[in-house]
Amino acid sequence: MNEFFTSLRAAFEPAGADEAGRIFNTYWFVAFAVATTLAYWLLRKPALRLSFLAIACVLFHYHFAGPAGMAPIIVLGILTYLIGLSRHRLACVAGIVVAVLALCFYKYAHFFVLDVLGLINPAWGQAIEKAARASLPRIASPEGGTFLFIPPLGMSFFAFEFVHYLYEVRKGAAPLKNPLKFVLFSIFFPSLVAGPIKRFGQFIPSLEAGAAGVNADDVAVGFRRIAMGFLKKVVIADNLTGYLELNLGTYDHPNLGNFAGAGLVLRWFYLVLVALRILFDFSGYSDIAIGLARLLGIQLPENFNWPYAARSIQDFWQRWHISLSSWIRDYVYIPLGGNRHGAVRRIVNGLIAFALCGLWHGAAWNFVVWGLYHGIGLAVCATYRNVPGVGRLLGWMFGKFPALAWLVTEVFVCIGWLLFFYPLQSALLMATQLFGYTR
Amino acid sequence: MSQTPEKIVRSRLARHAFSLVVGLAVGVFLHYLLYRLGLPVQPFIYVAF
Amino acid sequence: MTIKEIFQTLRAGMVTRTVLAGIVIGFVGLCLLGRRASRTPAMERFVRFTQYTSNESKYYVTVNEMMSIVRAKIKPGQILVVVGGNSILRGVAQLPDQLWTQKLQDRLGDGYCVVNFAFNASLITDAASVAAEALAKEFPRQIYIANAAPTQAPTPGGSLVYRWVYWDAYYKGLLIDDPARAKKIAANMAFRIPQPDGSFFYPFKGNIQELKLASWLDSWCYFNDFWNDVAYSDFNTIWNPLMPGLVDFMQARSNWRDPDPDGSLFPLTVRFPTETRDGELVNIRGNSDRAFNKDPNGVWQAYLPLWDDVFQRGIEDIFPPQLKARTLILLSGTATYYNKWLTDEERERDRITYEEAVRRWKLGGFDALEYGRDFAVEDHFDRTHLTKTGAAKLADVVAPKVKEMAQKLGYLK
Repeated sequence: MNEFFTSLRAAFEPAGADEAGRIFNTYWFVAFAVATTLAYWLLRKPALRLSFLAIACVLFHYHFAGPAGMAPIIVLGILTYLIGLSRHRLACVAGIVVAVLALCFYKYAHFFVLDVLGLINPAWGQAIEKAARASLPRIASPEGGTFLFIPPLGMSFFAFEFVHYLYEVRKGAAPLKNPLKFVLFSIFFPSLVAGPIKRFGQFIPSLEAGAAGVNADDVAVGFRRIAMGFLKKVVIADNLTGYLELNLGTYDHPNLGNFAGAGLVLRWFYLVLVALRILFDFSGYSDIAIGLARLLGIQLPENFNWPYAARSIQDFWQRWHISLSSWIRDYVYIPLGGNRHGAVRRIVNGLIAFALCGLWHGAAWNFVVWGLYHGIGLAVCATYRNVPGVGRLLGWMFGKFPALAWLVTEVFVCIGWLLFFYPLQSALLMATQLFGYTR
Repeated sequence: MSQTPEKIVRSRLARHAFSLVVGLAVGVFLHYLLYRLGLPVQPFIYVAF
Repeated sequence: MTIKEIFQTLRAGMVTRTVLAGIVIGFVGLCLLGRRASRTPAMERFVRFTQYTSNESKYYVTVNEMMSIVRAKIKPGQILVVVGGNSILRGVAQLPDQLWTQKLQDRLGDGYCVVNFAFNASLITDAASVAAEALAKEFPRQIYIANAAPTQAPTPGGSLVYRWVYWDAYYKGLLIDDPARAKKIAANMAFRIPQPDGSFFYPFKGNIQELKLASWLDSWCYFNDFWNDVAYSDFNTIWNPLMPGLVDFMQARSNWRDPDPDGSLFPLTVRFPTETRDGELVNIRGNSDRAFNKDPNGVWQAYLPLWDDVFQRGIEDIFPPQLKARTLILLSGTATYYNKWLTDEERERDRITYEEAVRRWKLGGFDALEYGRDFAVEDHFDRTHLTKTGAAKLADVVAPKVKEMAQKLGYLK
């Protein structure tokens, strides 16, 4: 018996850092998901199911994030829950600010200090970094090293969900009184690491419905989605990644010579593969998360809807990472004024929203530029028809030949992925080489 | 337009056959997945987020 | 109708219970087929593992595959000779028909069956030793051969790189119960080195939890045997830089030819380049520089903390006691080419280190043999690996020893 408990305790020890990027791709996760799902099905009372699920989610979070990764989320979560309960509008704003500051600290401090401040004066950036390292508290991370400037697992998603929660409560939505449900909203294991970004108004009713009963449809659809997600990830995306990294290098070591040396057709072929790789990797992840939740009878929001079938940039963002783009729309673009204050404000608001969207994807300049690139694309997309002559002609052509609209959209989106995967200068060089420029 | 009983049976059979094929494919793939997880895998792209 | 609409129609037409039944049938059916595959030899004309049938190209051979290879190859009454160890014994720089294990088979004759299960950089305790142990009941008349550097004590249960075979066999119940080895493996897993920032580094642990879980699951579902069989015989699903095409990588691994070249065709200037000579000499000196020191009277003294505490204790529990006597350790000598760059004293220290290693292995209950000191310059492909002439000489040295061991172990009665 003692041996059993020792093994059980060992099973939930914090995982190594290398597992943070693989979570669904580990045997630990497979065993955890199978055991959790079976136990959840066997429990019949909704309250028991929810309690069990909450315990499982805590164990999941502990295993992959470790105590150091859980600590900031627990603090933020308790704060968000209590502020929500108070329904105090100012407190909600303060809570939103805290969540955003936490995100900035963990994810962007390094970027702000070294890349932004470093642009002005590199010595200042390094001095601040050194002082911060000396003075800020250190918490040992599970895999050695210290937990300073290292974002807790899923930080970007936690911050967005907490901001959404407090924003809605501030607007008048009823807060979650049941702490169990708040815990499940915060650390629901299928979506804990990388979304889809949930809305509590949709998630809680679905959670309750799942606890009340899981039907055969849920199970069949769940398995199908999980299988589809893994197929996209391990069969398509991983093989493409290996191939692309061999031929085009990585972010840190882009193989520009190979790209320039390839013929024009091959360059475009590489570009298509880059686009397919990110689609299958990320939508594969979302499928797995959605499928896992569905096995528990819970519906998560869809994240992708055939994005490469889009016929305009606007259309693309209604199909790509939907839970993020709708979050940006509701909690950045609209609060900034949206399209309510004329064309110029609308464009500026869009650019700000998309620059933030880019920055959310990673703390580096190439992500900011990628966001702005799409912001500009959207602005052009929304206004070009008003330009007499060329604009109207283009509008007419795209209406008459949808395939042309599709082609232009895909070329725009695919070129954008170069900014996503490679350093700014390399991406720009590769983009020019797509059009025959080689020097 | 109403369907003849024969057509209904045929359509039902086709649906079952298709469903079985889909189920088999999922089952086979889940078995493959257990094998694949033991080999080196690329981290998910979300690591960058 | 768009593709999306077609998918929607197909989804709507599915019968839930039939889908679920299909999932169960598909999964369980493959587990059963995997069990069958685990007993069916896929590599029928096996000579050695190549880069296409090793972890270098993401192919993780199972213990059952290795056992099947032996079963397919061995004839009734033959003594089984399993060869493990690293790239030297795998036969890097030897074509399949030049391979030293083929020569060994020729010299031993029909009474023996030699199989080469060596992998690049693998240790004495890695894959081949596991396969031999798993076959010990079925083929008790067996000799296991592996090589090592003179002061190298292997990790029980295998190295971090190859230990999957040990855990594969462990969870399939194929290993001999050995509490002393189990204790040592557990102690290795718990061994940790404090780091300056207060954390710990576990040099032997790796991701052992995942490996154990995978092996346990495989002992029920046989996914490794099934899908390895598919990858080898039908189609490969994992891209890797050794099979680099976007489509080519899908070919069955059996289609890829053994790529090792004939090392004897390379000129000596390529095999022993002057630019890397100093580095190689550092490696050669490293074999012995901690093993022996001269005392004030000029007499060589063994450095006992290394020999007693690390080496002798290190080799103590690597195998179950009953398998030690059938194990022949080959201590791989370095290329004769480098001899002239060593001082007389360094050559002497090297010689007595190898002698001491042989003595220590024998003291531990194993048999051991040093080779290579009298080889010609041409017999080596580089500092350690052998060309076809070196391969033949190695077979000449090992064959009589194997026969002697077989006699001593009572296999010839």
